[in-house]
Amino acid sequence: MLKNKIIISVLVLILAVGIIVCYKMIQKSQGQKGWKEITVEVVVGDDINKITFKTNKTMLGEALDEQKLIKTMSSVYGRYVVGVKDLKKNDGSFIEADFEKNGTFWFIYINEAAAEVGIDDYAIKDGDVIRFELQGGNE
Amino acid sequence: MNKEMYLVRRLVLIAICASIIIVGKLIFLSIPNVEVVTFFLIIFSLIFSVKEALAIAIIYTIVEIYMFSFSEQFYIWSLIVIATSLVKKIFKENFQLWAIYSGFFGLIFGTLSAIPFFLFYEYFAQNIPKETGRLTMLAYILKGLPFDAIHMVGNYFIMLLLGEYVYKLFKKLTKQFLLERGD
Repeated sequence: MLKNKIIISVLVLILAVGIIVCYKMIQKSQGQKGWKEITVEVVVGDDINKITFKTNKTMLGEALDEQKLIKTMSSVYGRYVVGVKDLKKNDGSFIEADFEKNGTFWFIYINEAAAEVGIDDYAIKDGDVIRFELQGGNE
Repeated sequence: MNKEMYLVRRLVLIAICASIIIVGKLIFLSIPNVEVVTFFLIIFSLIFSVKEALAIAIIYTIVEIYMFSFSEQFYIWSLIVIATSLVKKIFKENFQLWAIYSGFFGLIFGTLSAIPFFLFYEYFAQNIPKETGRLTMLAYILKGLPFDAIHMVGNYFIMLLLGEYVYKLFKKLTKQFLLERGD
């Protein structure tokens, strides 16, 4: 009885790991290989600043890290963006959101639509426009 | 104990069981896709009749909608109760099978959540291309697969490790409560 329980439990774990690994592999394979040009827009109120760059990274998170455009924190859901580089000042400083302190957060749009996955789960394509919009804020 | 008192006690039990599920949901809220709602609904479906277990599921659904807003998962809890009531004569008290069953529901949870999207786009949304419903449903299912995998593992192990103990405990307590003489 215990032997059967252990075997089935291991099979369940293998199935779960298999599903997650397959998902990640399919996601990565959908990414375009080679160099891609993407635009990152940073929107704070009426202020919009942009930067366009080329990257050969597959996933959005990697590309943003490479350009040092974001600050992130980890959670059980994955990484989330807490700071975006201030493109206006361009002195390496970040515009930081703090939901607990002042109710602000960074909302991400990919090609004008709300991002449905995290930055580390989106495979970038040539011509993508990524918009970081600072939202929220206690009045 | 007279019949009315017995019925009142059954009603109180239904309310208590729904409360247990709500508290269980809140405890695991911070851990994504690990929940005890499925676990308790299966246990209560084994102990109570279909009507009573459905009442528990419906009360929980109403409170969940009130606390967290309406979601596409609203019908899944009742579905679990109905499905459990159908198979309980086959599985009986084999908690290895119930663990697999619970894990299975965890795995298809995303698919079940996607069905309302398909129905909405197919039959209710206007001026939307026909294939939007199917594509939305497919995208929802595929994106949620890793979470469904975690859900499956969580459901399976919670039932495997706790199912038999909690079932016997609730069965004993329910019997005691219902047969206790009131003063």
